[in-house]
Amino acid sequence: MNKFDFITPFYNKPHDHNSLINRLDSLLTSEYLSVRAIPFSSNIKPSELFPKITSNSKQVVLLKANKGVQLFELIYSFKDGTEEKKEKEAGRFFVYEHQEYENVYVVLTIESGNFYTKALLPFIKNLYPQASMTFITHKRLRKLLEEFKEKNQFTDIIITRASHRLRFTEEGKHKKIVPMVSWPRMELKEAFDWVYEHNGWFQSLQFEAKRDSSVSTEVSFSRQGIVKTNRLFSKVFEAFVSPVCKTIHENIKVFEHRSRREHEDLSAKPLTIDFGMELFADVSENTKFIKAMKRLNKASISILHGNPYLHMSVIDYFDGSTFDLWVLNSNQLIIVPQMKGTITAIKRLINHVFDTYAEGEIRDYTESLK
Amino acid sequence: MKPQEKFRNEIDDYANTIHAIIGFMNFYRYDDATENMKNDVLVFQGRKLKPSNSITSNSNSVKTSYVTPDIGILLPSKDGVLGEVKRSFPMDQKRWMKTFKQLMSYDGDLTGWPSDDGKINSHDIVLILHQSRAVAVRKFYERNKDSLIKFIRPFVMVEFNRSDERKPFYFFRIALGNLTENSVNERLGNGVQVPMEVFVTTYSTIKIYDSEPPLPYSLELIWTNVVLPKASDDPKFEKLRKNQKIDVVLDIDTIIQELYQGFSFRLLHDYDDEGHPKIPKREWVTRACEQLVKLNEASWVDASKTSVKVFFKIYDDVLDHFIELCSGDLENSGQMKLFENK
Repeated sequence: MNKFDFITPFYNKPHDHNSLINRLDSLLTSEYLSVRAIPFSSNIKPSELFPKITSNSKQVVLLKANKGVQLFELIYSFKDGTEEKKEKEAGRFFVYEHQEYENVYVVLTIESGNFYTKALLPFIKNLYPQASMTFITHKRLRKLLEEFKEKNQFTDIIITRASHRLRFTEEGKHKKIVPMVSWPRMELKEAFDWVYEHNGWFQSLQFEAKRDSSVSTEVSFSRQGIVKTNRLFSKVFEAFVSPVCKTIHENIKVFEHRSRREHEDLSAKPLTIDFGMELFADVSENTKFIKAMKRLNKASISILHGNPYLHMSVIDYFDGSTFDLWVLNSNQLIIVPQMKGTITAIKRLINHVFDTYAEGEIRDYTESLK
Repeated sequence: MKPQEKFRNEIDDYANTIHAIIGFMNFYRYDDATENMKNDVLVFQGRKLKPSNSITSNSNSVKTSYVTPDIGILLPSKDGVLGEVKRSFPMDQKRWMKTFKQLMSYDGDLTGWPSDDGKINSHDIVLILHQSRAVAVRKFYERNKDSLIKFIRPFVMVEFNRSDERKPFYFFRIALGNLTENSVNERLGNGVQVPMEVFVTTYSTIKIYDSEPPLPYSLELIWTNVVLPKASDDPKFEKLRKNQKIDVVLDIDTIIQELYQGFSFRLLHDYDDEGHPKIPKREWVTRACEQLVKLNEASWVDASKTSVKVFFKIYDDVLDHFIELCSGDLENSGQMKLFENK
């Protein structure tokens, strides 16, 4: 007996915000599929930006648009194994314009893992700095998982696969961030405590949400806010995708208008990262921080003063943003965007500090003085 | 001492001097009651003031038509303060008179103050110097006062020091005399600690004053704040590789204007008039561009050296790059000995 095709009619139907999420949810119950969601921000509407990004190996076509939801096709070519000739394939994806948060979008796809890995994710990543994803702190990641468990009354959240990275700790040890993949089948608390104690963070987490002995859904969630699930999509969207969109929006609000050139008096609008502990109590910590910062790619890091206080000048070679960084007390980093300090460059800089040195709370400098 | 180390020390001294100027000015600007800056206190740096007929020479005993103090403060009472910051004094005490002659040139009825008629009632003359030299310089002054050194107006010495605690601060204290402004005099009489984090915004925006910066520092300022923004407008910028370059043509006037507008003490006053010289000075910028040409990082567009074509490249550490190049150039040109004796 031929299997009923649910997918073609799904693509053919016009979707709006609510119907898209509900229909994806329904589709997962009838098909052996996964939905992947990539939240991102951009100042340019994807319907304008995406079709412009055409190269020999990829082309994006807008198939249809309806009430804040657009369907695109990404045609891409790749070499398969030893074959000399390039293969050509295509996959579809939706762009969901966030209703509440301006310039915040979610890419949604039910296509194969191959399409996602080889074509879609690289395509989105290569849009930087025109479009950029976010970063979810260790603390927030844990909170979202706990809330997901509590709100949906799951009895257990079991980590089935975790990719974590450890920041270097001592001189000579873990000189780089160490990526590790494990399948610990740990409970939530145990896994998060372990990574925190080892000065690390989760790059991605795959977990089962269980009610008693039955698995209700399998979800994977990355530090960049990318979500994948095979069931209960509406709940997963509400628990993870929406909060990630909120984080993107909040970061835009905190990071925007920091360029000195945007202000008539050319005044600086610094940000601080409060680490919540006396991280810089020992001057040797400056060296560690400098080493961590020197690993920021496509950037110039110049040290104007290194001991005992720290003053560095940073250039972002993606878009020409520049910053002064200062450590003037033991628990805080001050970031002073110069004439140009774009949202994406600030995000990248802070993301790098969080990844390679330590996470902290981002605040406006004037607020931090109060 | 290696030239690299010497350049780094000079850059640190240069920044310290700027921090000291900012710190001292803010004793007058900051309103303790409202915790805001006072709008009616005007501060300026490097402003040209015209001396009266009684003052005819500068510190080099050369007749001059104006003086340019490091610090100028105009209070709502129409009283003022003129100051000079000296991070270091030479070993040879005979050369100290140069500084005092400069200070004495401020001791007259000067015009060109940012008041309606360009004049004020009276002003203090302040020497702000590093704590390590304060005792010796005070003794020098006391030995020579009423003979070689004479002041009609109040003369005050304020010592400063950067404390390298984990929460660094600048310490200021009166080492000699009394300031006319009572509130400031009382505070500085006992000594005041100014945590660096309080003025971090100002430290990040004011990067030059009316003294020529060390060459690698000038190059870094021009590169990061003038060359880079222009290069980043080029469509090639985003994908630029380390072995590629972008040609950036700049007028010397543009470089001066960009640094003056964005990184000089102009930021502390919202008035622009003839009394305010453009900092950086043309000759400093020309000298820095000359160095870029010498280092094969630029070429002159015209024989009159009004425009320069800079070959923008990606460097992992811009300041270090220029310190290394300038150090190598210094060693190759055999100027190290001269440099050491400076």
